[in-house]
Amino acid sequence: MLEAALEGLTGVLQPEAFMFMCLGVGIGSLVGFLPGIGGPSTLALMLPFVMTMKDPLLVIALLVGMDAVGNTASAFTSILISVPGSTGSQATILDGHPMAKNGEGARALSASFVASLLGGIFGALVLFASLPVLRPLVLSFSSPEFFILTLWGVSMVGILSGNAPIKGLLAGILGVLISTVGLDAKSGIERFSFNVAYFWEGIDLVLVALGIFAIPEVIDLAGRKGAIAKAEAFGSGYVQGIKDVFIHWWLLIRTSIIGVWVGFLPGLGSSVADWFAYAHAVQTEKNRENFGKGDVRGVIASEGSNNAKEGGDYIPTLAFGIPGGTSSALVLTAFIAVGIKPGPDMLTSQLNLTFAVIWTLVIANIIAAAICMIFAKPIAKICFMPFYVIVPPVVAFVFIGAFAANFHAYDLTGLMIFSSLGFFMRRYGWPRAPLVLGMVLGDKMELYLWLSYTRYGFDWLARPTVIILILLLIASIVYPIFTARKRHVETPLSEA
Amino acid sequence: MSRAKEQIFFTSFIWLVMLAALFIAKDWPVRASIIILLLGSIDVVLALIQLRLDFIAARAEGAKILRPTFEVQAIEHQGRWGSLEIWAWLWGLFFAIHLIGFLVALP
Repeated sequence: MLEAALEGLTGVLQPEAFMFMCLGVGIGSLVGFLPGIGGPSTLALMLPFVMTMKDPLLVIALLVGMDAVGNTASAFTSILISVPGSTGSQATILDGHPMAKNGEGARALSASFVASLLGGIFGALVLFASLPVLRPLVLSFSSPEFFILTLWGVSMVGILSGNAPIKGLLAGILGVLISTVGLDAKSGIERFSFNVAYFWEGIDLVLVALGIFAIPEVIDLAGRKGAIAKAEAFGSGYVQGIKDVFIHWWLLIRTSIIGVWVGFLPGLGSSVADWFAYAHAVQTEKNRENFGKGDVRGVIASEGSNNAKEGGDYIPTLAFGIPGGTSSALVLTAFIAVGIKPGPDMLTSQLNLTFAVIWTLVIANIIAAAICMIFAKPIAKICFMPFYVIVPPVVAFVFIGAFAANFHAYDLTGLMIFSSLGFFMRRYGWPRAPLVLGMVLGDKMELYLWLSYTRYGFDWLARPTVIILILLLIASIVYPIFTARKRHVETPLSEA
Repeated sequence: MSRAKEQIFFTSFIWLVMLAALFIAKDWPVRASIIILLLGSIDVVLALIQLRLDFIAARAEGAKILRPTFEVQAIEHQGRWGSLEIWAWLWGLFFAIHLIGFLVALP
């Protein structure tokens, strides 16, 4: 294992890989402090370009680097203009913006950067520590267990990523059905291709991801015209913010653990991690009357957890091939395209690549925190870039990226169709992450089901691990729906 | 048209898509259709449950939803045309690429 760890480190420190990591950190940070363009949209934008790369280390350096730091830079907008730069920094506003109003913007920012850095490193350490535990577990699994796990992944993401479990499940299954479009290799049947040769290869995930995420974000961003809040002054207390994190080190560790746990569970993304961590801080800390009025502990809790989440997110992604959320689903797609095989291989023959991911998480967090701390003032000015400067280049990149999927005119038609679907899903509160995850896992699900049947007939349903996983699957579907329904019934009663 | 009624149309659309997928897949060999029939049937039932919820929501329109939301909500576009303006730009670009871009670029 030590050898693989060293191989992973030397791999990501190669000049080319390191350059790509810096590029990823730069793009991830830029996206973080430009409100409106989310991390998944940018990852979707990068997919068509990344998929042409041959070296898996470069892909890891670029995409994991980008994914790891999105929540670090997003603290700028959350604290200074009360607009979350990413979904993971919403809770930061609660105390970060009041601090900025009180003239302590610099203190809030430095506390958030250091908390993000340490939280991110904590997440990577947990990923590292989980490897010896995961290895025997994953190697004992066969196609039936993996089939149930893929089902579990889609259902968990469907149920948990949003406030509407049924809509989430519907979206997840819709994603699986979209993944079935094309020529079926097992039977030779053309599925949903309507005699159009374009569909034989299936619908490219790049089109779906760009349409579902990027265009609705662009439309949303365009709708912000004139709506950007007044910026607060940078303020003072830069060094005090750094000290604050070390004073409240125990809070940081607790909230980082929450972040890792939330990341590990498929479906709960960084948008949940920061709220859970913030709620935990408010419930457990002494002298809680200042929370919501500008307490630095609120910033530390939120920012520590959202970066720690990334390490937890990669545990199921790498070990089982079940992504924890949208970003990891897109990263997983790029991994598969360049020959990285998530699953048992990542813990055996490709262990060096798993370590490359861990090292990238650590180094990217250090670079991002350093950039944000050194260039805090100039970066703060970029946050206020008007929408008409951002939207046109993003739209151009989206169209170029979509056309690069197959270099076919239908790519653009597909983009517009999925953009419309994404727009309406967002408008009517349908979670979009399950659809992408369903598409990513759809092929695997079908393959594992077929392998299970051909190898074991129906006997695979009687395997003890399968039974346990099925029970967990049922519990994970029924429990959230039951509690959501209970809450739905209780709310009108309490209102009455 | 109110937002609640629009939701009913959207859910109905998804339900119809699922139904059409099941109808098309029913004649295929089992190995090609098993996952579609299995999950598609579940989705059709779920879509019907969602439709029922949408109808209930439409009837109780105006009631405040107090549940927490984990996805950043879309901004309500203001003005008469809402987000139609940006959509017009996007479709304009799409047609311009087809009518001008491809003609100029292709030999």
